[in-house]
Amino acid sequence: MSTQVTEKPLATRLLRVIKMNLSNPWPTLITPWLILAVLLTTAFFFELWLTSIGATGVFFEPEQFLIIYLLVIANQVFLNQFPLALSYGVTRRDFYLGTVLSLTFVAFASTVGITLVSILRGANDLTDLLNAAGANFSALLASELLAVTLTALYFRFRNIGMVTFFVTTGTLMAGSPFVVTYLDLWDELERFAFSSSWEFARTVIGWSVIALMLLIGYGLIRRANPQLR
Amino acid sequence: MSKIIEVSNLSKNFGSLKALDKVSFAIEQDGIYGLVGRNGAGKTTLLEILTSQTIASEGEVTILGQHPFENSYVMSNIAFIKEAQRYPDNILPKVKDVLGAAALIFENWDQGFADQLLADFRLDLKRKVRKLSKGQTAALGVVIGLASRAPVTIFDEPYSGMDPVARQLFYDRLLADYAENPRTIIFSTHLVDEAADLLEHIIVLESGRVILDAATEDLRGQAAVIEGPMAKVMGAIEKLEVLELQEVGSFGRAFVNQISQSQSSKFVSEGLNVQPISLQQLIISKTKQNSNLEMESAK
Repeated sequence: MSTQVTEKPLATRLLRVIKMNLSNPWPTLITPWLILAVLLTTAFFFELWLTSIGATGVFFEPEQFLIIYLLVIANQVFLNQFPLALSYGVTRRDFYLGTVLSLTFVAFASTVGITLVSILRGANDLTDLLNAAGANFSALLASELLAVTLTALYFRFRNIGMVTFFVTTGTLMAGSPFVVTYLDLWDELERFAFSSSWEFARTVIGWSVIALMLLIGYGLIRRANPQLR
Repeated sequence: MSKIIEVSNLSKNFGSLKALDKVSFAIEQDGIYGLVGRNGAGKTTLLEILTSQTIASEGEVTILGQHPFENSYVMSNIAFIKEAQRYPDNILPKVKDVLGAAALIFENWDQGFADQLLADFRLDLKRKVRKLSKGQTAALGVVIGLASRAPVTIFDEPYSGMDPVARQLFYDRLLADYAENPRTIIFSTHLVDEAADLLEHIIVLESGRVILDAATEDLRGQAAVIEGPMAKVMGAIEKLEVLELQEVGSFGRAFVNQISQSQSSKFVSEGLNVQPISLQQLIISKTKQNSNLEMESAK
């Protein structure tokens, strides 16, 4: 018999999934920065022109582009690699954790890139840079995990899951202003949004949502069928 | 030999459809098994459950003595190459990327063998996966499955779209490699006669049930076709297990099972034509017999 394979430690198994996901760095790490280079160069000349006519302002923020790009690429990685990984004998748990770690690395690398761009554009206050880096990292990670959770939902419940999610989300988004109005909470919300505790609350809520998406994604993928028919 | 896979009372329902109905069988370590059946017989569903792609409704599967579902020890011993396997061409765009990913995951991966197979199947490492033809994509799956040297290698209709030359190449390479590196290989196929020399054991599924589970050697020469005048044929088959009976005017043709050499000689001396039938014909007849029995019991 071919040599029977002994079980490898979790860290080894996860590292293999990470390498599998990032073995071709073009879609996750290189292509977005090539696109960004073009966008930033355009923005640079546009901002030069703005300055020449006496106006000031930042025309383009790279994180705005990356949040959308990484949402799409996280979906592509999960959607396409999941069936192949399971065919190669990877468990759902190992694939999920390995993919989340791969995407965390991509979000981190992208945050480093955004911070470097900010420095090149003249930002030099370390506290501001670190605060911005923290906010960018959590926003990029949240974007990727949203894609992961939605893709896991698709694998678990297919079209019914997607329709249910979007109908529920749409209803909540459309219904929440009515609830706030009905409960007469607009003034309180405004006070909270401009209070000093908002920054802290935003961070707590952001990371809670990230943790929640991680758990929901795992719960969904545990019994999902990887076949794309 | 010890059992490497044991399946007991396995059922899978999709709504009211019973894709698998109390399937039980065992697979010995080191052997080439053929899983045969008509379209919709439940072959792919069975293989998907064995490889934890799908969860069974009832019953039990053990591989290497353990349940495979989310079991990293069992799963790391399995390679599953599906019919029309899709490769993530936006993440792993080239043949070399797909093979690189396989090399990362499969513990027993043999790069030298993979290179040799690529040359045999005329696959270029730099070629984009999305540019491969259906047959070439199937060949890529075959390369991965064979070079993985996984102790349990499962192919689901591996040669869909491959031309006869490529299919023969697959049989030859599989057999040669199996002789040097014995392992458990299961593949589902419709082309029984073509793969007959390769298969050590055949399991036939029909309507989600196992209707035949036997060593290929035991099946060879077991069944025969008896041809001649209908009246004589009817007389000959009286005490035999008839799989299928065809009547064209006064001419009759009966496919029978478990016919002895002496019976065969006797029928020939009576002016009947007796010929052994191929594995493929035996399976077709068995399947038809099963369908007829099902229809009768439903009445």
